[in-house]
Amino acid sequence: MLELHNISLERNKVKTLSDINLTINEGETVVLTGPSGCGKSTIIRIALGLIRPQVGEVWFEGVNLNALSAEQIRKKRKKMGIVFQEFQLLEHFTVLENVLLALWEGDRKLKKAEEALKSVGLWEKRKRYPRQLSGGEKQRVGIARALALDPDIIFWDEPTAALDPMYVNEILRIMASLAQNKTMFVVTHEMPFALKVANRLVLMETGHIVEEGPPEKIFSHPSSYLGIMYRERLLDTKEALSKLAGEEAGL
Amino acid sequence: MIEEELLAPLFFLGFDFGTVTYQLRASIDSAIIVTKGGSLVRKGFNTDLASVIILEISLLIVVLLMAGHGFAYYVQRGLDDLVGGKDYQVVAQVDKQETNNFVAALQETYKGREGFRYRVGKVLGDKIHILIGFGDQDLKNGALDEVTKLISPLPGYAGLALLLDPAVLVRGIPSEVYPGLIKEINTWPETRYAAKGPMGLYVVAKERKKLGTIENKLVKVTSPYYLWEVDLKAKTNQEAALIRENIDKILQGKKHWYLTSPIEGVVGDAVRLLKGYSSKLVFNDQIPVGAELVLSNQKLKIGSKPSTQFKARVFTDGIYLTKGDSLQLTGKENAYLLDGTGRLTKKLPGFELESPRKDLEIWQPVTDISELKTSAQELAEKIRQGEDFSLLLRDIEQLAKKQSLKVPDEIKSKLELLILWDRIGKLPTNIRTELADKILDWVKAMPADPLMKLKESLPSWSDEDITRSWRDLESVSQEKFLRVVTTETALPNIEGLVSKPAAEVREDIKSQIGEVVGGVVPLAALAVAVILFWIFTALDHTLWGSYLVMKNNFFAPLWGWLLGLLELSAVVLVMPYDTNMLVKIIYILSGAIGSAFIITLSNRISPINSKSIEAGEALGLSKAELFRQVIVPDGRPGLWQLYNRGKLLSLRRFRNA
Ligand SMILES: Nc1ncnc2c1ncn2[C@@H]1O[C@H](COP(=O)(O)OP(=O)(O)OP(=O)(O)O)[C@@H](O)[C@H]1O
Ligand SMILES: [Mg+2]
Repeated sequence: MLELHNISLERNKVKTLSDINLTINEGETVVLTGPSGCGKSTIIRIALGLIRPQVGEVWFEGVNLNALSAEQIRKKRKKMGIVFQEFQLLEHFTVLENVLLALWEGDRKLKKAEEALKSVGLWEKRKRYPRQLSGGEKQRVGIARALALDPDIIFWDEPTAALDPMYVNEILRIMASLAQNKTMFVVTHEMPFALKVANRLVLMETGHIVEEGPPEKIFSHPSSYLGIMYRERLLDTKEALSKLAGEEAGL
Repeated sequence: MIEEELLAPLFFLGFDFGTVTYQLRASIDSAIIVTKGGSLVRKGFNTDLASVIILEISLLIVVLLMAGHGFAYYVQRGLDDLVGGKDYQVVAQVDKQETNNFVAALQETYKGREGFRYRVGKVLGDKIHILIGFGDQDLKNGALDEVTKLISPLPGYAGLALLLDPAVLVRGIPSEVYPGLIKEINTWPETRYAAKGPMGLYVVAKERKKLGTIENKLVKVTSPYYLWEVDLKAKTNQEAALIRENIDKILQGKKHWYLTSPIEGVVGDAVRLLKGYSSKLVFNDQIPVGAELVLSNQKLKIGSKPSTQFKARVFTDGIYLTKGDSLQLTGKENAYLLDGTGRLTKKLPGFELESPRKDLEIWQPVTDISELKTSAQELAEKIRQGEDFSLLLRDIEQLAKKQSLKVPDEIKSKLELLILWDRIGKLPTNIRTELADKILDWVKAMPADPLMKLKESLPSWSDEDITRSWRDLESVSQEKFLRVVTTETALPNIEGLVSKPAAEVREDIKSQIGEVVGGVVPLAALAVAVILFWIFTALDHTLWGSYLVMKNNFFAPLWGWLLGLLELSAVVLVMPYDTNMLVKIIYILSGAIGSAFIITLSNRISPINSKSIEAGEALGLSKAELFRQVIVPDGRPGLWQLYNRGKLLSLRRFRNA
């Protein structure tokens, strides 16, 4: 469905991405992770056609985006959904209007927005403005906005990073349920989520991919320093959880 | 077609194309190249931008017209109370407490005169300004010429000034030829009326911008009149008389008018008075100016060199006794003409004797000279302290008028310039001190004290003394030139004689003030209005500018420049005042440069949220929609936002779909 071939990008003479190859097949959920500033968001931007790479090609549904005009890329983008870390809702529109924004030019169906908002449980609050919502609710609006387009693929750029821990699971749960019948490309640091939901895990460092494979494999036999680090992190959480579970059992 | 759409407002406003079109097209082309897909120039967005620009221009024009008319109504009206506007030609200063009496007398004086009007204007100090206007026909018939004569005896009168605007003043042409000139000038389409006034011939234009045409035409119609001038300063009286005789001979039978500069003020009063006591002889024959006559009871022999009791001399304004006592003159004497060597050349026919000696006790100088000096000192002080020059000119003229003095040309011409300089803030340093000193010098130079003595000693004087006195006075106060206006073109061979066009044609000083008041001042007010409003709209453009800058579009300043050029050009087209080309160009260029500058600074003035833009783009919004839904509603409030309201996403439109 989405293929990135030999993508390289230089910004202000600094190499942001070098020789990235990545394929996301239909129905797959791919999780991308890596330290801050390594180029994760940039990859999403390139996939969406917001940035043109200097080297390499982006193929979406069998079409090379590089060969398309800006207008054609824009049309393609209607088949892609994106959820941002900081929600990016427009403050001057209500919840419903924010969701409708994506449908504004397409086949203006109010129904789709309604479905999307209901699926994240926010139809009741459709008349509120973003400032009247909690962080978790805002992100659910962000998700509804992406879903309203009925996209072929959804990009998630650290959707839980800006949230209070109490809202994180709420969002992860929605993501996990969406993953069952959507193609998703998820940038996140939530390793338990990766382990549970991802078909494939991609580890990145300073502009290049260091390791890629099924999460179970990476977490059990990491082949890179980054892999070891993420495994540690996962184990820490697991240990803590089991410890908590043990204490609970002991009581 | 895209370009056409963008240029449509320019066509609509009748904008002059050429290079602008070329630049615009070039920049559109390059913008398309830069953005590869041509996303910069797409229909929806262009329509929005063009609409906003048209909206801005329309509002700018409304603001401009409002400022212009508001100015004309509020400010100009206040000024008109002082300077009369276009409906009044004369402003009379009147003692405040005499206002009612003056007005009653004024109405009585001009009762039944068609078009006569007056308005009681502003009070300045203890004087009130009464504005007086006449019908055009009345003006053509000489209403201005007689206004001083008619108004000055009215109660409370303290002086008057003409306020002819816009007007050209012609000086130096003999008033005898005015009627013919006026008749011709009144047939010109540019002329509102031409009239004789105290300073010369006034030609009032229908429109200010026609003044130039009128000036040119006046130079042409007055071109047959030449002024012959001989500097007599280095000549003896004998030589001067000879020159005069020569000129007389040459101009015999041809049109010519000697100019004696009128002696003004206290000196003038004295001279006129003294002449009134001198015996004036009136002959039927024309006798050349400068000639000497002998009067005798006996019959004298032609060719002889007599010594007689009575002698007389021909002056430009008449023949006066220069020797003997007029009380002993009977008017029955024989009169003979003398040649240069003192011999009798010809017997003249009889004469009449005018103005026998009157009672000398009556004469009082019009003013007390010490009072005049005090006023002058006060005036000098005001000048030093920075009083407005147009007020100063009024003061000075008032002072001079009151004393029936003439403001020296040197001071006056300086002042005329200074008013304008002062208004535009270009006053040379030290000019005020210099001017104040000049005025004090002028007052010092006035023969004040000798005149007072003269008054005391008059009763004991003989005719000879009196004649000598006025001649002395005349010679100290008169310019040392022999001047004659003539239509003769052939220049005679007289040493030191210069010929030049007689007419001095230029815009009247009051009219110049009118121009300043009616032109520069409102223009300044307009400029402020335009600049403020333009900044407001330019801020609007920063929304767009911010976007361009964010997109690293290096054409942003060029777009800003074009936008400013376009908007200010449209405004300049409808400016309600006659503005000269340079000012217009300055408006346009400063608009363009300012716009370019503001657009360059856009992201500081109206920062836009690049994340919202990215979100909009990621959702697949077109550029037009990005502006309508994200950038404009998110940005600074302004016209664009107002206009954009109708474009905002609305639920209603979803339901209908
Ligand atoms: N508009 C830009 N211009 C130039 N450099 C940029 C720009 N945006 C990002 N970068 C640089 O590109 C690199 C990759 O940025 P990117 O946002 O893709 O990182 P990231 O992996 O998403 O980090 P994070 O986890 O903090 O979101 C960083 O070094 C960043 O400084
Ligand atoms: Mg990121």
